[in-house]
Amino acid sequence: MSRLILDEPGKEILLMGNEAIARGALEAGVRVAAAYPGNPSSEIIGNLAQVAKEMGIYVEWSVNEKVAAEVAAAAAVSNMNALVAMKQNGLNVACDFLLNLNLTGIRGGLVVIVADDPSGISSSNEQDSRSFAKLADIPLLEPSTFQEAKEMVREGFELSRRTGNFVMIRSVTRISHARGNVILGPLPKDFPVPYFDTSKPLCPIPTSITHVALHRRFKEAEEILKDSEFNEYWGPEKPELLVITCGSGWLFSKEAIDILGLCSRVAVLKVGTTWPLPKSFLIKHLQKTRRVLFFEEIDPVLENNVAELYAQHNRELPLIEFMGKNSGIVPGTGELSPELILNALGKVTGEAVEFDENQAGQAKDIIEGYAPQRSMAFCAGCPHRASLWAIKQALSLDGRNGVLFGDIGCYALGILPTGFSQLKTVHAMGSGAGMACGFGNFHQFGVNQPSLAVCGDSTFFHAVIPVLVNAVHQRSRFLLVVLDNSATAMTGFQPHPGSPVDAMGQNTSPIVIEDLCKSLGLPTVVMDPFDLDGTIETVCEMIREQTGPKALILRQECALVSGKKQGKKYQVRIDPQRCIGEECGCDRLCTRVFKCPGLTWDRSEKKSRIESVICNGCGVCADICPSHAIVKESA
Amino acid sequence: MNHRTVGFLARSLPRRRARRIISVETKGAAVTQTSALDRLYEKVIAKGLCAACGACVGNCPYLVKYKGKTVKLDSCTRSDGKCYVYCPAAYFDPEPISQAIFNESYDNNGIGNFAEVKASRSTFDEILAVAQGGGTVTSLMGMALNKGLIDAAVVTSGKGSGGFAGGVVATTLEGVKGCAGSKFVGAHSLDALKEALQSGFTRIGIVGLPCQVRSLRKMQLYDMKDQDLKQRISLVIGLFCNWSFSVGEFQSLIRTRMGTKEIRKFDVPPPPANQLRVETEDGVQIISLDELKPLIQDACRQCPDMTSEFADVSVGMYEGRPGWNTLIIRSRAGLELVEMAIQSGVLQTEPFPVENLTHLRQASRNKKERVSRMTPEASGGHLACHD
Ligand SMILES: Cc1cc2nc3c(=O)[nH]c(=O)nc-3n(C[C@H](O)[C@H](O)[C@H](O)COP(=O)(O)OP(=O)(O)OC[C@H]3O[C@@H](n4cnc5c(N)ncnc54)[C@H](O)[C@@H]3O)c2cc1C
Ligand code: SF4
Ligand code: SF4
Ligand code: SF4
Ligand code: SF4
Repeated sequence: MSRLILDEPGKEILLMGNEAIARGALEAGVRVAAAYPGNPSSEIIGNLAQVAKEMGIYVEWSVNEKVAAEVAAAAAVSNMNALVAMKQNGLNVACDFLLNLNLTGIRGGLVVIVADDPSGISSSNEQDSRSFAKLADIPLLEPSTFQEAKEMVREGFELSRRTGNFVMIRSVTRISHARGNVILGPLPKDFPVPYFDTSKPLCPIPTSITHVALHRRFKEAEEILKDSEFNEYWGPEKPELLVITCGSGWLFSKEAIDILGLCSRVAVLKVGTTWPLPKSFLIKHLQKTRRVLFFEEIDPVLENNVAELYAQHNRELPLIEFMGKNSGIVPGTGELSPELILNALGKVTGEAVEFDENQAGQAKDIIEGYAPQRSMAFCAGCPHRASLWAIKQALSLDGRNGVLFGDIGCYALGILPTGFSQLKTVHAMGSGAGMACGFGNFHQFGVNQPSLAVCGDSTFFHAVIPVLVNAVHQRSRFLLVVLDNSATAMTGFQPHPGSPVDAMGQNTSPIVIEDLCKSLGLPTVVMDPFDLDGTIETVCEMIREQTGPKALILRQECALVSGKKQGKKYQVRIDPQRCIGEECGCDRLCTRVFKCPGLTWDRSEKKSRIESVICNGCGVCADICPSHAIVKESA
Repeated sequence: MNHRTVGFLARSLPRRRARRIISVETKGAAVTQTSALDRLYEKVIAKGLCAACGACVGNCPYLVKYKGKTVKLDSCTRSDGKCYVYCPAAYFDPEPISQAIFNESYDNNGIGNFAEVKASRSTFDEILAVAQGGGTVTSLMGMALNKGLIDAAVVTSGKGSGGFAGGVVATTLEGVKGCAGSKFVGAHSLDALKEALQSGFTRIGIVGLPCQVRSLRKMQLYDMKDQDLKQRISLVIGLFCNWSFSVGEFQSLIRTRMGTKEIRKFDVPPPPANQLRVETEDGVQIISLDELKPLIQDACRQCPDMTSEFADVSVGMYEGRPGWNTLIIRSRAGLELVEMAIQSGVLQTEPFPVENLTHLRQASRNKKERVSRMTPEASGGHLACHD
């Protein structure tokens, strides 16, 4: 049994932030949960899916975040509690719907979890989603601890039901993906009866009424949250410096103050209800200090909101020096870290800590002794490497300087040498196809560069289908290459509409990408990218003379999946007699250009080598060696 | 040094000197410090000066032929690459090559160093039936194979890979005969030399255009991979050539004109005809050269060699005498080959009239002058003695 459904109130267990969020939802009696996978949010729905059967809840991996929000909203307008989770980019996808839903309100409970990825560790962008709450006039909570992550979700549902609108919770990587102790609460036994009241339609029009109602609901939320225990104060009553923080900044700040011995001089005010601000709580503490320093991740959202509050209440407040991102003391982007906070606090208080500048360098040296430095790369045997190799060769042969538009997925690494720098753009889900669709229609301006796009199989369903419809309608001459590795590999192998099972493990009929393309009238070809020559030829042929959109599906299972399922397909070795290495006629094609991590260069022998522990046995490199030195034998 | 290259050389003198120093270590080849491939690409391919000889493509994963074009697929870090060193369009120094083959200085008389010029034709009807002119080339190659002078012949077939003209390795007279007739295109035929070398042949005969002959001689001189090319390329028969078409464009034009008709022979009758005659299964069709001129390879407009000046023997048409060839015998090996052919009754020869020789020389000089009218910069490697 999953620990998530332990019915032992009061028990303390170690949970990952995303598990704590899932547990909070269960304690709040969530009935429906939906999401499109995206780190750092993916484990929330992943965990709920695992307990779906036992808990009698409905969980789905939706085709995209907008649909996920709509599915959850359907429950939340039918007297149920529902949760939708997404990463920051996903919020943008769901935004159109959510900015109408806020106006109609709901008739149940809906918590929208947005997990931001400060520093863009596993994202294309860095985005502070908190501004959305202000835009949408909805309450926003920000957990600082794992316990809070659970409690805020639970209370978020309560708040949502009481105010008749959805509530947003913002997590960050360091909350979602770290672990800490969480004390469990009770799991509910009774649930509200689902029912859609057809006598009361939900419509945001006329906004003259609904927008006013939204503001009223927001005021209610403000009233409920004003004394929330999620807002905390720690430190001397009249501090010479007040740190105002939220999220991961809370624990970091307390630790830093401790280390610097500033406990008697500096206090910390943690805001858990980031929007609407706990006004009276803030004003009370602002009256007792002259200097304020803000720590928060990504944008100065809290900082600006407090400054706004200060301006509105300046008559009640002393002159205060505000420091943070706006003053340049705290970096304007990226994650917080204990070191960053120590530095900033040290600068402001004159209590600088001594860092051993060499420490980082020493650590690096030690690590490099164990592990060689590697650049970001596709896994050994990854089909994307083969696909991008074939596209590279084909575009060179074609000779018209074709452009490969890309988007987000493992294959976004194709903008780096591991993908032979073939991707020329990376933006949002499906936007490679959209841009290629546009570029494919510029022949009237004399553009003769072939237009191509790559997308993953999951991305195809998420955002590319409308592009194809558009492309057919506009007769755009572009080639869509679907890199179908039969997995949402980047986020952890969640099923998608092309999979034969759904999030809850039930059988479902997979949607066949090529059938869909053909049904739209696209000339469509399916190839195995490991057949390099065939794929090169096909790409050349497909882009040679185009009068409209075409689709090429390059299907080969993700190396991690196939490796787990069937082990190595080939035993691969290098015949040192044949390997000509650096000599003219090769110049290390395999390790210098093709660069599968399964291949290494033996500097002393001046020969390439297969690292059998890393090699996945795909056998592709055997087909590129000009000297036939790479030998593959069926494993 | 050629006076036409002085300006160009003066400008790049410091770099030249640096290269000379390295060149000592690399058998005198013009090796550069930058990547050979990048340099080949910049100097030759990107400028449209590639003659599609095929010297670079069979040898390297980064250079391939595709639909008649030479394509660079990736980057390479080698500075001493065969690609650059063997490319006839990158640079060509007649002097050391002349010394190596003819044991004398380069003779800048128009048709290069030679021992004798003859009129010649094959004595075999079945060769005459398929040959371009007098069948001299096919007869000499066939005899060389039959007599064991060579163990393989690299010749150019009209039906190479992908339906394009290309080089093939032949080991029988039949194989050589199958490749008789001129394909007026750059066919990358030298890439078949790699195949012949890999198959282990030790005495290879090759038929090539002047650019290809130059490349072959550079290969032998520099032999960058110690493949014993001096010995293994044992017979080089050069063709006369004024220009050739770019194969991709030419073949697609012919295909649209001729449809699926089987093509038996192409012929370019001497001026002032200004035509390409295409013999098909149902008669001859004429295409005006004016229409075809744009398809001539840019490289050819910059090539100063009409008679394959560095071959063992060079063979061309005999203007005004159909069914006969002009045969220039140049090297000792060439002389022996022709003598053997006459003695064994393979080849019939006649003296070549002096006025025809004068005319040939003039035509050859015309080609050289055509190139020299171009700026030294644009004239590329064909002219530059040393890079
Ligand atoms: C592109 C081109 C341009 C020419 N221009 C002239 C010219 O201006 N004046 C002139 O007198 N002669 C020219 N010739 C030569 C002429 O056409 C005959 O090839 C030559 O006279 C030999 O005749 P033959 O009867 O002995 O040839 P054959 O016995 O028919 O043998 C011809 C040989 O040429 C080879 N060959 C055919 N096409 C090519 C090619 N594209 N590349 C390399 N090898 C090839 C074949 O493999 C064959 O071995 C040209 C030839 C070519 C290919
Ligand atoms: S076979 Fe070659 S390309 Fe495939 S995983 Fe092994 S080393 Fe990499
Ligand atoms: S591609 Fe082949 S010849 Fe070249 S280094 Fe690798 S194994 Fe050796
Ligand atoms: S002329 Fe010959 S060697 Fe030079 S680039 Fe062209 S094909 Fe290669
Ligand atoms: S140096 Fe050699 S390996 Fe490199 S491109 Fe030139 S021929 Fe190829």
